[in-house]
Amino acid sequence: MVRFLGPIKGHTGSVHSVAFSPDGSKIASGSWDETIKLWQVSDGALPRTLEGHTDNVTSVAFSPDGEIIASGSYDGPWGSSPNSQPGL
Amino acid sequence: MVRFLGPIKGHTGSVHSVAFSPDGSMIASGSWDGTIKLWRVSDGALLRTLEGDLVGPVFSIAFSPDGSMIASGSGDKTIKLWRVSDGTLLRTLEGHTGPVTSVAFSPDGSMIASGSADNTIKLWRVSDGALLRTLEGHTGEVLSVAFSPDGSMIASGSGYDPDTERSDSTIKLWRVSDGALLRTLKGHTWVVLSVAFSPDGSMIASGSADNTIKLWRVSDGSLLRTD
Repeated sequence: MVRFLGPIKGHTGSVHSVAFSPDGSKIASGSWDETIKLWQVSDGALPRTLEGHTDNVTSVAFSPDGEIIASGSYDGPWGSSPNSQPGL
Repeated sequence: MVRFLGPIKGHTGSVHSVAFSPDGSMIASGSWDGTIKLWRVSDGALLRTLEGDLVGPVFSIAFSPDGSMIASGSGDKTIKLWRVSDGTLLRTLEGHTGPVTSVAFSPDGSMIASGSADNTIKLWRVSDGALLRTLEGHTGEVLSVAFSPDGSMIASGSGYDPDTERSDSTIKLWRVSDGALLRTLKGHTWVVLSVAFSPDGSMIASGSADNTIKLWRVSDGSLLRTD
């Protein structure tokens, strides 16, 4: 049996930066499509998309505790939190 | 739940690189405006701007594993080493013949690997700035370098060569001890912009101008997944 699972919602622009979370479970990717995507390494689940940048995302980095993602963009640096940590 | 914590304002040009300090208290950002800025994570305050004699855009920054230094790669073909505590420029590493697109510290902090638009990767000793080795083999600009967590390997991603008008589009794995090329990972159809080792060293993730992310197994070079 063949079943259509739906499109994989990948980036629609160049992927300029990839970073593993410190525990190795996730990959964050920053793209010229102005988004950051969070991928589960283990199961290939569809990524979550972090929107907010208004220009090319050039760089992503996890904090050592995995709680914050810093991203660099043509519109400047940002901080975002996968777990709603206060700060920045 | 994911939430944006907000922009950090200060640079007057696009930001090409961000890095957390090893203790998580600071973020460094390198910009097209030729500066590196250090920010406090807790409140987003600008702590320091590193300017020195930087000429041209800062393409890449990396904290040393002990957090005491920042290495930067820039459009002036050099790598610069900065002391974090007071922003002093400690050393300028010269040797590349093209812009330095990527820098990485070895896990033990003793070496820096740099990737350049001159198609090479160079290995430098941090203590005295000596050039230890030049890794040649890519046929396009080297846009990303990463050390394996155990420090034994370097992964590099490569891109376009303006002379041949072709894209290398490969990832190469190099042995640090003798500079041997261990493996070439082929699969991306356009410029490889970023490579990262998984924390356990078993996988490499790569991002490309072909819009995909690929996961590779280090042990045999097989492609595990692509989006």
